[in-house]
Amino acid sequence: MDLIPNSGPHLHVLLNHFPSVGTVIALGLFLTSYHLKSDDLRRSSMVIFLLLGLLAIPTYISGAAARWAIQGNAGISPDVISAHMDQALLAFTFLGITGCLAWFGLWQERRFSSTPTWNLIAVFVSSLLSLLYMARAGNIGGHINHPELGTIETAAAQGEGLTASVENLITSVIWAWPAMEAAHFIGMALIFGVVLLVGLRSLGVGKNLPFAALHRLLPLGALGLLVNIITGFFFFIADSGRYVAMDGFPPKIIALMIGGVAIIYFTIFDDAWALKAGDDAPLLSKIMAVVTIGSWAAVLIFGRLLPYYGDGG
Amino acid sequence: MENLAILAFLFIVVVLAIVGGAAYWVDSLADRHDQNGG
Repeated sequence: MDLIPNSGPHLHVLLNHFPSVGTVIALGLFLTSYHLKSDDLRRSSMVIFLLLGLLAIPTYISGAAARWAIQGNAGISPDVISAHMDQALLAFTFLGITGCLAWFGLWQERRFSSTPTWNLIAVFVSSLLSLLYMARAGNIGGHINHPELGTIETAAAQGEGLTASVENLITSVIWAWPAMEAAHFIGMALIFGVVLLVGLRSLGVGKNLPFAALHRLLPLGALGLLVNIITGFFFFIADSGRYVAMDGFPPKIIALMIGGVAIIYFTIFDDAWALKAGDDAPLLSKIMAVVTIGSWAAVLIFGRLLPYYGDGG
Repeated sequence: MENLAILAFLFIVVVLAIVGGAAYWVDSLADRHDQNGG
């Protein structure tokens, strides 16, 4: 018996429920926070939106791995898989936007003691759209390997939908891949630069800097992450069969998840924010600094090793 | 080959302009807040 999923389809079946159920819970908390006038509840819902935005990454990737594992099996329709992937791509996009907006709202609240109304409305609208596309992706996805549910009409055949268009764009425009590689490296430099500055301050380097001065740089790192998620997904969509077979890809994504979650600590936690010029950071800050620098270094190392690391044998 | 380099370079310039513009906007938000004594 496998306690931990070790195949794409198994992992996808496990992961794909979290974003949809989680979004319903986060939306419920978000709306309840207004009824109860509770800032803590609203902040909690924003953190969940952010975590779900990060979780959307392995959910989408495991879906592509599941596709390559079952495509061609008897009774599996490539058209239904293709339609499911198109809706999943839209769901991933809006869940990612929701996560970014939620992070920016949390950053502003930490810095300015309030989140602007436009940000909260944008989080609400974007989460509703992600829920809509997740419901559609889930509905179509249920028909991929469950003949007892009957048949389903799909809008576009395999090779004609949104995912196929993105794939064709990346592979047919000759400069697209190298240009996005360059953007990916710039994004990585922004992320790692900010992570290193924030982490080293917590570890005692540049003690005369108050943490608030470095907290101001966090959006620059977040913009780098956004650039890299967008460019990274273009790479992945264009060549998903090769990526899901690479041994170095799962460790990179796991490190990305850990690094993403760790950044929440430096964005909102009181003990990091309270660090004044000359203060020594508490032990938790130092541990989080090591975890954050280590995980982003692992993302960088495994990313660079991808072409050399093997393809699953 | 020249076209490839020019188009790739323009793409990077556009990405940097968008990231730079967004970073400038966020930084000006923080500036305005700090000037208001926040």
